[in-house]
Amino acid sequence: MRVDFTRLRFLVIDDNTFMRRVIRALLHGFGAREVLEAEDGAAGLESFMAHQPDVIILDWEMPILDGLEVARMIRTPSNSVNPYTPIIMVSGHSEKNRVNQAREAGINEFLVKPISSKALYDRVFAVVAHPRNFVKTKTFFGPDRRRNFGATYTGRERRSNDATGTLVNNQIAEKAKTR
Amino acid sequence: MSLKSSHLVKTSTNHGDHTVIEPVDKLKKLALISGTPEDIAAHIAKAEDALGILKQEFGGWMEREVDRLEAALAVFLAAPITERASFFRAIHDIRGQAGTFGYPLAGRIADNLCRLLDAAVQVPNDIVSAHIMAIRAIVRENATTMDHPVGSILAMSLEKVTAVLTGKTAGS
Repeated sequence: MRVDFTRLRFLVIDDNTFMRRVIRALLHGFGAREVLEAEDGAAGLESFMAHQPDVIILDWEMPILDGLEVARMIRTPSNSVNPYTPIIMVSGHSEKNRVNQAREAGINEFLVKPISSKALYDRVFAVVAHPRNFVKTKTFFGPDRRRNFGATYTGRERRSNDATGTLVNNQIAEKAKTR
Repeated sequence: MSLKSSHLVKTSTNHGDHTVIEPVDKLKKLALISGTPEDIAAHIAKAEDALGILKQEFGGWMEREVDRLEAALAVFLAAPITERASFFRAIHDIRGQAGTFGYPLAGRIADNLCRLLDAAVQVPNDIVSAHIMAIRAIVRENATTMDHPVGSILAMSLEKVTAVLTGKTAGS
């Protein structure tokens, strides 16, 4: 199986012009026809609401609203046109704690820069071919973080939690409004 | 928007402290088609070709990114607390892009500085500046390989300084 990129609408949110051009070139190379661009988080949210892309490619480090905040906004069902839209985060951050932060914000896939065509293809394939269920708790809304369902899991139960996540989302919503 | 918006959600199951939602599987139906590994490899090769067309511009892009980085450094040195975030974004951009643009050593040095700034230690200004000067030198000398003799020694030296400042072993 493979992805037919001609049938997908992409939204690339990255404050760096050069990086947007690289990602756009790769997506067009795969056959994509519809590649929308936004140069910051707030513009990205506007484009998301207006155009309802099939896949979002999101940078982390951006001024005003960063990628994590954008992801949380998209994953806020009360504000979002489609809170289930796949998000592929592209970032220079490679540390495990950063990847975990991105997952907590509700991203589907994480792609560490420098970007390669194969890695980007694989991430798009993953969100198209292997969609995950979503989980909602008091503090989290996003793709199920459990990709493996081993009976031997002994870690912390993260689906029960306090309400701090709701507070964070409300703060981000205020930030977007006051931009 | 309700979690149960019928056009977006296939099933929604409440488990007390959490709800599991199965979204409507739109993309698989829309864009997953039959294809062989050879088809996929051909698509990836096409994307590489598309990137190849841009490659002739990468040197100029890198120059402009280093110009931007130096400007951000000047602002940061004048106001290190208020301008830290914008300086971090500039160095972080180099960290992520330099490899794509053909300057992996510059990316390695930027990565080192990002880790240093991330470690929240007091970073002397001359150490920050030394990283930026090293990146400039690598681009000026067109050092496009990881094993460039002078560039790699420069990167290693900066990593050793970082190790001292953060109390970690270089390369760990």
